Amino acid sequence: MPGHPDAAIGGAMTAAMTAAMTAAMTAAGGASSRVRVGCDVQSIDDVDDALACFGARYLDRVYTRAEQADCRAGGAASLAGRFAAKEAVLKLLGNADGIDPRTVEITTMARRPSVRLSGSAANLAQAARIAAIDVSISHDGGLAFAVAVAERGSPGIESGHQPTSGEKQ
Amino acid sequence: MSSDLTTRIREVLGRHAHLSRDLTTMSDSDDLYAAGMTSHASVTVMLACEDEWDVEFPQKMLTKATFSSIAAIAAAVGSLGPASAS
Repeated sequence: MPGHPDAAIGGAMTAAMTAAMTAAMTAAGGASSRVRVGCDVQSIDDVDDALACFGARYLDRVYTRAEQADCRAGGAASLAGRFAAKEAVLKLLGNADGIDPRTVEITTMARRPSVRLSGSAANLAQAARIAAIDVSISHDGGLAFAVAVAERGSPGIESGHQPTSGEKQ
Repeated sequence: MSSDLTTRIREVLGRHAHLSRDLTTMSDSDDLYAAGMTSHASVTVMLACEDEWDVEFPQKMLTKATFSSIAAIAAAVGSLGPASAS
């Protein structure tokens, strides 16, 4: 988020972000073409402002029902983490401009974030032979940060995602 | 493109875009993403435009290009047909 006003707030997180990205790339085998990585950072205050201004309209345009239920207790910080994770996954998938953010669903499974793709996001993953995506989310200094990592499989690999023509609500 | 429309878009951007550049120094064609607008801010700008002109952006219009500049937003709002955008 170069040049963004929150960049100053996020300065303290720069080292942590760099370390997380380095660890992810190292664990995944460096710049191997079999591995894809995406990351994103999101201001929690901006999500709080969006909630205050647009309420349910904002929630319903960006988050699935399951995500909204998961974030009920955590509020804006949890939603910001989900948003950063969605963006990280979309960056990992590549050409994701115009993809409905609800087609990248980030829910909590066994106290870990879990990615479930549907619709056009699932179609992109299938085209890239990505069967499973792992994400990690962190919060500090008014920011949420997420990293997504996936390994590309062989053609025809069975996908856990659900490519459809419709969008998940 | 009417000056009233772009003036109102600038007001929306001032409230929701969180730009790192002074909006008054930007032309209608300047790149809003280069000026610091994030993906999340583009969502709130979209919602604010829907409120301002009582329109709804279809999913196919929710691309980076639609919100890339004041002129692009004006064209998008105009294409949705609100009488107040003419």
